[in-house]
Formats: sequence, C-alpha cells, structure tokens
Amino acid sequence: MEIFQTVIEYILNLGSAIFVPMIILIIGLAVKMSFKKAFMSALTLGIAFTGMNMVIGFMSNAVSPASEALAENTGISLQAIDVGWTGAASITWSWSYAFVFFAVVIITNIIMLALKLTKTLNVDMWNVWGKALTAYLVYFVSGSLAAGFLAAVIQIILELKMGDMFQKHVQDLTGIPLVTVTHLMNIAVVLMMPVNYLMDKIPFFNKKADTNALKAKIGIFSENSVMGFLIGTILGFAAAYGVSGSLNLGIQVATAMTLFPMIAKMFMQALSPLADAMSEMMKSKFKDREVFIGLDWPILAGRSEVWVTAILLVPVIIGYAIILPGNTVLPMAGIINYSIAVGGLLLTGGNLYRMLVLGVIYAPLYLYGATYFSNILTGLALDTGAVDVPAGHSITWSSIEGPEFRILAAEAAKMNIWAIAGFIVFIALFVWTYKVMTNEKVPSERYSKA
Amino acid sequence: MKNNRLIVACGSGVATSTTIAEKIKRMFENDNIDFPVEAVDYKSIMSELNNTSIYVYIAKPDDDVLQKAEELGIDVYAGVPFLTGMGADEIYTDILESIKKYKGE
Repeated sequence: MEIFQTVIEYILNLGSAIFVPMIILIIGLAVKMSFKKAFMSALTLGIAFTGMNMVIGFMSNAVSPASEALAENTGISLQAIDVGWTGAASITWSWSYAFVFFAVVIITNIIMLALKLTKTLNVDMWNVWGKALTAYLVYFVSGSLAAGFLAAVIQIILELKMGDMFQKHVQDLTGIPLVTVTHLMNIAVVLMMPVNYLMDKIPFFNKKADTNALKAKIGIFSENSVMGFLIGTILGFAAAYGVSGSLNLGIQVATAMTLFPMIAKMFMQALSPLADAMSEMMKSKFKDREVFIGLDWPILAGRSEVWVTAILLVPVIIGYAIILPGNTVLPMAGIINYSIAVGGLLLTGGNLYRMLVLGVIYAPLYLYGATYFSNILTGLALDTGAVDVPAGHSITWSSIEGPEFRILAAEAAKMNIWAIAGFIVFIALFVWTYKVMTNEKVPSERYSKA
Repeated sequence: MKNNRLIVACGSGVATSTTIAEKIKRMFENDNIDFPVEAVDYKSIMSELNNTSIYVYIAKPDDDVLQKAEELGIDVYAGVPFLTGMGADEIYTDILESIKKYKGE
C-alpha cells in the first residue's frame, strides 16, 4: 500500500507536463490507438502545457511591472493578470481529475436521454474542461470533492436543457437543422432575462439594426494581435512608460495574445482523437432516435452581432476594470466576452441595441467573477506546476463563463445560507427562462425591420 | 504557384476548427491523400484566404468573405456535417474532387 502511494506521488510530482500526457497515452492505448499515434498525442499535449507555461510566464513578466507602475502612479491596483479562456483551459487540464469528466459528461447525457429528460446529445467533447473547472472551483472553495462532482453534473444537466431550449433559435440563426449549442456561456441569459423583458416594453428596442456594415469597419479590432497591441500600449502609457516602453509592451502583449490560441490548438490536436472517438460512440448509440446535436458555440460566430457587441464592449470592460471598487482584474487575453455576446444573441435574437445594453449592465458580473476566481486559478496553476506566477500577482480569466452559476454553486457547497438561497432562486429563474425561450418566436420572426 | 491548403475557420481558431481539421486530416491519412490542413481564426479570415485553395466554414461566412473566396477561386464547404455526422460523406467526396482539381489531376 505504501509503495503504491509512493508511486502515485512520484508520478504526480513529475508535473503536469509529464503526468497529463501519460494519462492520455494510457487512455489512447486503452481505446486501441496505435502506439505511434497515442505517443504523438501525449507528446503534443506535453508541448502544449510547456508552451502555455512559457507564454503565460512571458506575458506576466511583461505585464506585472506595468501593473505595479500603474498602481504606484494612479493607485489603481489590478494585479490579477488575465490569461483568457485558453490559459484557463490549459491549467484546468493539468488537474489530476480533469479527464474523469469525459466519463461524467457522457454518462450524465446518456441517462438524461434514456429518461427522455432531454433531446440533446452533446458531442462537444472539448468543453469537458469547463465541467472540470466548475468541479475544481467548487472543490477548492468548499473542500468537498463530491460537491465538485455534483456541481459538474448539475452544470451538464443545465447545458442539455439549454441545448433543448435554444435549438429552434440556433437552427433559425444558422440555418442548420437539428443542431444546438450546449455551451455553458449561454447561461448568461438567465440573469439577462428580466432586463430583456423590460426592453420588450420599449419601442426603440423592438427594431433591428444592420450590423454587417459596422462589422466590416471595426472587425479588425477583434484580431488578437491588434487587440493585444492596443491594450498593451495603452497599459504602457497608463503606467507612465514613455513611448518606446509602451510600444514595446504593446508588441509583447500582442505576441502573447497571438500565441495563446496557437498553443491552445495543440491541446485540441492532442485530445482530438480521443474526443472524436467518444463523440462517434455517442452518436452511434443514439443514431435511431431524433436528437439535437449539441455543439460548441462557433456555429453562431457567423452572426455579425456577436462580433460587433464583443468589440464595442472592450472599452466598456476596460473602463469598468479601472473604476469598479474591489476589482483586481487587468483584462487582456480574455477581453472578448463571448458569454455576453453569444448569450445576448440567443436571448434577443440578434438585436444589437439590446445586446449592447445587456453588455453594459452585465459586464461587471464577469469582472467580479474573475476577481473571485483569481485565487482559485492561481492556486491550481501553482499546485500542479502548470504555470509559474510571479510573486504578488495572480492569474485569472476576465470573461469567466457562467460566473453566477459557478460562484453560487461553490458558496452553496460551503453551506453559505445566502448562496444556497441564491442558487435556488437561480434555478427557478432558469426554469422561467426555459419556458420563455421555448415559447419565444425564432429570431427571424421577431421585431419589425428598421 | 499558389499555396495549396485546406483551412477550417472558427471563432477562435482553436476548438471547433481544430476538431474538424484533425478529423479531415485523419480521413486524408486513411485515403493516402497528401494535402495540408489547418485550423485558423475566423477573425483573420480575410488574410487567411490569400493562400488557400479550400475553405471549410463552421458558421456561414459574411458575404464579403464569400465574395473574396469566389474571386480567388477557392472552393467553400460547410464543416458542421463533420461534427453531426449528417452529410459528412458527401462533403468529403466533394472535397476530394476539389483536391484533384487543384493538384491538376
């Protein structure tokens, strides 16, 4: 027994760049991949971890002094560096339990389908990490691993129900039959419902804007490189760096933000044979039954309202980061808030004015969520050795998806009575949202043309 | 000569596009087809199109993107069938035809 424990500890101490690839190698061989392919997957994953560590380290080394100078010059202390969803995902995969959630996702989905509690079959095996993240967050806050798993199961159920309620809207927006979106980000609609309900009563919010022309004009700002350069340069000036220092910081942040997705792609490449095998297995199991295929959100990315909203909210989010009391997040790699943009698209059926109003109202929720989340993500990164974080700083994800759900679940698991009450109210609101969305007209039949 | 490659674009160039790109790569491998496949960021699609011969989209692209693809003689296909499984074989067959065309066979 003692030897067993020593072996396990030894393996865990090898660090995430060795340990996690070993898991994928073993799983790969178990599902009968050839050794060569399984080894390549494992190696790619190890490279992805190490590369992500390099880029996050590079970015925090470049940004930390600037954020310190900013604090000295202005008294605004934003010490939590935003590594975006790609950073958060790679750190989450380094958690030793992360891979278990493939099974949790699949089993929960099969049970829900078998009991006819959902029509959605989620084949998006990439966002398994989102469930692992929730579980880790709840576990970190409450100390209970069981509560973490329970929260992940609740999340999977809510995602499937969202798949059901958004299906006709997704079909209408994309023109693709029988697909839906099962991404957690869309849970943003639950708290947006009351405001959207009020906007139903105001004539101005009941006509449609033409966003295509606008997107053509401002689309360039959504490129990671351009966005990173602008944010870095502005941060440099705010930190009184002078022109040369500011421009250099701009280039450095642009470099990090351009490299993040390139490295995140390697995670995907490494996990893809496994994820693909699992989604094929799921599909073949239910091929005789009409199901909605649950996919990741990018099937909606062709809607220009998504990008116009996300880009126009960038200065708003930066402004909030500066003025909101208690915020410690310096928005960077996660500055594009997809939860507001995509959730807003589905809720309002692509009404740009409403999406912008919702963004302005709800953006603080994400910054505060990210502030709350910073200790947790930093703790996980240091714990698994996935990323080195400079002392006195932390890392976070400024547009963390489903902050309301995740934080309520974590605090409720800690037996915080307010959070338990809040969680119940949230689920009640979710049920209301479900009813409204299933009865709502599809986007193309809503609003009068302007 | 123009750069021959197949690109798959999604909102971040990371998750969905890579899923499909890897899937197409595996299908190519099984059929002994030597053709580069890459996942790219839809936000940079206008510049990505410049050295591309086949473009697989996830969300229906904007009109100006489609127009540019047409001007450059790029064949455009829907990628979602590779995720749902419905109609993927037909699209894959068409992609193979496109490759034959580009390789001048």
